[in-house]
Amino acid sequence: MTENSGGKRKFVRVGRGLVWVAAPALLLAALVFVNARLNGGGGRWIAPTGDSAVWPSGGRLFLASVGLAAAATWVAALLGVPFGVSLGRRPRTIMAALAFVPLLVPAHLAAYLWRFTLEDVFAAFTGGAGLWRTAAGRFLGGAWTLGAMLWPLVALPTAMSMFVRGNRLEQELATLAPPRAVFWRAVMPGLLPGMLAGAGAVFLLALSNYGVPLMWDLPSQNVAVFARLAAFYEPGRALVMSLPLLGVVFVCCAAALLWALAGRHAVDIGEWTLRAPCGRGRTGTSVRVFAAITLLATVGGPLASLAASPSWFRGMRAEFVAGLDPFVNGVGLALMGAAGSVALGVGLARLLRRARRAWHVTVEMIGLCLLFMPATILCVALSTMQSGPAPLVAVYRSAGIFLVAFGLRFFYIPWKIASIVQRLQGPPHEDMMRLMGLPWFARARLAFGGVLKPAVTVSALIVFALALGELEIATFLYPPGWRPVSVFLDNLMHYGRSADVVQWSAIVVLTEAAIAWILLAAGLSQWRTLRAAA
Amino acid sequence: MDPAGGGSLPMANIACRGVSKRFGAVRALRDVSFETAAGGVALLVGPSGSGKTTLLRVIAGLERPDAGEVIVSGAVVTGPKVHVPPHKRRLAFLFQRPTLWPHLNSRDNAALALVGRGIPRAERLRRADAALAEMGLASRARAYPATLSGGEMQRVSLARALVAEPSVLLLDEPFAALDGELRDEIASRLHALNEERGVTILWVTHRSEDASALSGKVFRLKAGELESHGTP
Repeated sequence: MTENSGGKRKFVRVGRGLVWVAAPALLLAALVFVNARLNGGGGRWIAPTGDSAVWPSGGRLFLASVGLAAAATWVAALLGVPFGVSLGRRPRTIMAALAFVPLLVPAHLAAYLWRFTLEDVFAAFTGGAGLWRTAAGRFLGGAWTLGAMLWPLVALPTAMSMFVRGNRLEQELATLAPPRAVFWRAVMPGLLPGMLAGAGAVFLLALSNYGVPLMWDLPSQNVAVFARLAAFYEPGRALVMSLPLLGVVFVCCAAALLWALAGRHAVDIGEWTLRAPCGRGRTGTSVRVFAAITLLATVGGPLASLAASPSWFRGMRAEFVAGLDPFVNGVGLALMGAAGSVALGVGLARLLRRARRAWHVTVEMIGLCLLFMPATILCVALSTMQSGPAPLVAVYRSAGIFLVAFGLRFFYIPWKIASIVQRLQGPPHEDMMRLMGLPWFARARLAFGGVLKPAVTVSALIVFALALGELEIATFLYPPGWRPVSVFLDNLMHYGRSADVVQWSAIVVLTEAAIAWILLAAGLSQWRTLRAAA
Repeated sequence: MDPAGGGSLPMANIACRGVSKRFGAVRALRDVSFETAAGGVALLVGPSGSGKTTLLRVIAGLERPDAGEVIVSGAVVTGPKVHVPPHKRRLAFLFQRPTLWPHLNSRDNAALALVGRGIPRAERLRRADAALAEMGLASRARAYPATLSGGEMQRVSLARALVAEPSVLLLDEPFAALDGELRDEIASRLHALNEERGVTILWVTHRSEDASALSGKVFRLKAGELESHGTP
């Protein structure tokens, strides 16, 4: 190799690096510019709580959304990193599984209850409701709600970083340097990839969130897109307004995927979050207490509002009966969603188990984008297709649309879990099936009854819980006579019936907690058995 | 077995002729040719990455070679225009790690090898029980893989391989992780199996003790090429 050729290679490498950085930046700049030029999005905004606010327009609206997402990311990091480090030192399945609870609470419900709690329950400590009605107070409240919901996405990959690396390095260095130096110089650098991946996921989900900015009356690009679609039915303009959000999601997902493919120090955010509850070991008392404080602090809003609501028992029966139908509808539609996403995700994982890497990367990219992008964009796509391709026409005004919508939105979760389980099991099982010449039904029974059963159980539970509280798709696409519980709750909030909201939210939160418990008791134990056998 | 076409080699139960296999830029096998007698034992030795496992997978039909042909029980099963599916080669394969399904107990795992052959379930389970008893696992027939030790899991895998009554047994270092006593015990069982049933055994190993435990031909692979062959 001559000196010149070495220089040329370096030049090419630097050139490629610049392209990787410049292309997404240009794409994003173009999308923000188009958005700023073509749409307003701002103006007077009447919030569900009746408050009126003036929203910025164009690029400033987008920047406001980014600011909220960034603040939420900091909150999530402050809550999640200490929890993750504690859990990583002494992993315990129950703690990791409980960390899923804040993620499963519906966003608009969490936001409403936090606002209710801060304005009314803690009014004496926070200087009355006035603070939380100012722009700064609402911003703080929104960022806190988002962070309190999404911190497990930072905590679980951080815990996995410690769990995967083990504590041998720390123990070896303990004799050579003081503990603080060992932690900051040796342990922390190893945790950074997990933390960064988790923080990236929090940022994207906060940017794409609909329920929290809606309930805190915060300027949000996503809420503006939804309003443009739902209130004015302008799908074209809604699509243009959603382009910057879509661009950010696309660029971040592509970057995360490239990072994961790079191998060294890489973190696969999906895998590291979903596999965290598989950790084994004993948890010390201090960790249990610490974990309980973090969990209580983040689900404390809903709990405090439940305790403080004077009508918690009063009129329970009448309201319960009134809300029973939406609850049953919600469960039905969430089951549809779980079925759709599991069929698509697990089916794809099974079909592509021997496919080339490029196929996996493509499915991974599509799945990540669909999970992280605002659900409003999916609503735009599905609603504009009602007059288009034939297959969707049949399901558009039926409950079947939820099979498609939630199936697309959440299929990444079953796909990822099934892929992990198949990899844990390893190719020899597939080879063994070929060697034994089992008939197709025996192969399917072995695969779905054994290898993929934990994947199906766990992912169906997670998707069911997420779909039960989902608001955007539910609001926009629910068929006549199928108003689900998330929309019912949203309607109650709009009518200002806070006592009824609190009452029903208790049932929803309890349902989500029960799902988390089943997740722990049934799904994860199966998963661990599988890992022990593999 | 009904392999399409190909010549016959009555005295050899496994034969490879000019087998080559490449994975991208890596040449895993280069023009490998050897043969073993029917009912014989052959050991395939060599350092890590020398192509031992790839050769076994080619013989089993799990990989298709780029060139060369493979003959099992006198019929060409892999050639330029022939590829008999793995399950029609009447051979059994034991991987390095036990391949048991976690939701099935030892008995059901062993009986899996007979599924789809028109054998009633009761008969399948009876044969599985017999094979497990032969491996000294009669009392563990209803145990699930998560509760078995590594040695027990590997013996269940061996029982499953024997239930199918193969004419060739391919072993890809399946006992590498077991302790010496257990390994010797299994080696003696394999020796008995070879003598009583006439099963041809091709055993990949990197331990010289294994080579001396079972007297047979030894083939030495290095960097994908057959370096030498002889007796232990």
